[in-house]
Amino acid sequence: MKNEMTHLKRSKVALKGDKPDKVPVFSRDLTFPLDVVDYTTPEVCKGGAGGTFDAEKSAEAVIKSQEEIGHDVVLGSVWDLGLASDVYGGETKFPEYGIPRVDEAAFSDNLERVEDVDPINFREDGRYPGVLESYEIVSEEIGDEVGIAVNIQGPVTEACLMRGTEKLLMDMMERPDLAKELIDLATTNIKNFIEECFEAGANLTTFLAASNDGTEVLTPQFMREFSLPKIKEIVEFSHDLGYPVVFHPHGVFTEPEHHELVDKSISTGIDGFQFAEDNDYEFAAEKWGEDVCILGGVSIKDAILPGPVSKIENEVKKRLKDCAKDGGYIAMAACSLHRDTPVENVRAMTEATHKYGEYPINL
Amino acid sequence: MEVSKKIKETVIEGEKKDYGDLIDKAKDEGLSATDIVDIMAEAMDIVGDKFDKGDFYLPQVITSANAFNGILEIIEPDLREDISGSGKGKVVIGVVEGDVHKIGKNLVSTLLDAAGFSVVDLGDDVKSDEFINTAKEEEADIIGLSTMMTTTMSEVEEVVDRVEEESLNEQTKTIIGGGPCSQEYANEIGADGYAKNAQKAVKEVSEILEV
Ligand code: B12
Ligand SMILES: [Zn+2]
Repeated sequence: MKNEMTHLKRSKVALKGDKPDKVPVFSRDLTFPLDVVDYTTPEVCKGGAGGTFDAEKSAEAVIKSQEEIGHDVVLGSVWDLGLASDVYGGETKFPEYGIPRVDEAAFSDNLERVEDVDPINFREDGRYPGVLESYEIVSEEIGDEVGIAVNIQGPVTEACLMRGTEKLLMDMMERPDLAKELIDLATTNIKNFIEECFEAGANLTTFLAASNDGTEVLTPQFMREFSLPKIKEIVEFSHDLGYPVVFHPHGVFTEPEHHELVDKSISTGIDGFQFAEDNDYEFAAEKWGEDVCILGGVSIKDAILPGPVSKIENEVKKRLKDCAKDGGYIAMAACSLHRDTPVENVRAMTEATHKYGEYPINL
Repeated sequence: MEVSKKIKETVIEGEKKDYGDLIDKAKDEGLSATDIVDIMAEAMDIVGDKFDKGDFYLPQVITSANAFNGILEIIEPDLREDISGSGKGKVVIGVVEGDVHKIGKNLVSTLLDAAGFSVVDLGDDVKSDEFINTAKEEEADIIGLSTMMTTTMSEVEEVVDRVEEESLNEQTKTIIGGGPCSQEYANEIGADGYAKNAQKAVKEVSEILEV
């Protein structure tokens, strides 16, 4: 086809707020690729030498998933939420065909310990060396054509994983200074990880997976006080490296009482905002589409998990109509994709986006 | 302020303090431990409502739950006396494997305990084996299964199925709850009961066991 852009180019253009040849898809498939290659979860996340992350199997899963689904942006590795906590002595469980989860958060019994620990050395510590190696392989194999994003938790989200959410929320109320120390440590780690990943071949953007940095877990005041200043710090850091940042806090931000939080998020300098489940995307595009790239759209709970394909196509078309006409839109599900998500439904989201999302869009 | 109002407010606002004085005053005014639990349950209902509507955020739900638990601890001895016929039945409860959302389950567990049931709380992320083995060992009357995620609903079904497969179902009934569960879902998988919140859970368990 004439004038067809590469996946990478298409994604870059959309992130800048412009119109590519067609709307790109970023499926942010965290453990979903494991189903595509049919590896068990522990086999990849801790099945490498010495119980580490298996770089080759991770990269193979990411690449095969991209081939199978055809999305424009991948992550450099399969991803689980226990990586940082594990480095500090936490314990993560890896169900055979399930999603890894933090079983014992590293700082769950003793937050004071945060004063005595060092930032993570990503080339040496825990399971991270395998993760970075996976980024390298993916970059080498498909990095010329496909967008590779750095996926990392937002600052409060990462601190929650290291401490336990309920406990960190109590800390914020009862000893905010110590809570901030943990969030500072998380922020330092996030920045260093971002730098390592871009060195390892990520080529597109930083993605802040920030489920607990938004109003689903924090009060607006906590979001302003504990999260947004750190988001700003991370955005400046990523921009200095030459890469944009997409922010994905959970919460219903299209409700009037939360608009101000989106405005404040945008003023940290973020380049994209992925709205989570239950947001009004039409409204979001109308209100903020000029200022940031809008990402997200297809409900996981109502469409991608239950199907059928026709329902997914309809959601895609609706989002394209509401959000994509003037460019600056990347199609995604409303959150990340994990194991046990029907492959044909994810493929349907991608195919429908590419089919109906060709510019100019006439829907 | 009227003391019952004060208790309600303490829970809704999630006030952290020494609850001893408040409870002494309540007793002076003739409130029983069960009265206090009722007032707190009502308060927790309001908290849940406010959370649903977006007026309250999670930290507020947690502080309310803490206040609730703080008061409960103080009145528990009286409660046991009040609710004669403890030994109403034994409930083994937990959040299913893969799910760590335990705040709701904790409330259910606390209220069942307060209502005089003997509760074995297995915590969160509980394997189906553990539910079944504990139910056998404890000769449980009820297994309570909690999940907040659609992705772990199949675990609920698995435990319910195993209760039947292992012919436990004469002795042990099942009740389910948590965000994605519903009465329809309970019917579909063959669970004996469902409840939307902790207060209703107590009612439902009482009805199933006819106590
Ligand atoms: C708090 C919370 C968390 C906390 C949990 C803290 C803890 N230790 O419990 C943290 C931050 C850790 C968390 C993590 C995650 N969460 Co969460 N979380 C929530 C949240 C905001 C509130 C849940 C809550 O505590 N409610 C307050 C209590 C009082 O209410 P309740 O749980 O409904 O309980 C009442 C009733 O349901 C009933 N009940 C409950 N259990 C039982 C049992 C029986 C037997 C009976 C009869 C009744 C009953 O009575 C209770 C009391 O009245 C919900 C959103 C929401 N609006 O519900 C999301 C939510 C449940 N989480 C969600 C998700 C996706 C996650 C994560 C996967 C996020 C991620 N990407 O990492 C992880 C999963 C981790 C895991 N493996 O479990 C989704 C689930 C979507 C889905 N698939 O269905 C939700 C719905 C948010 C959303 N809209 O997307 N989460
Ligand atoms: Zn999300």
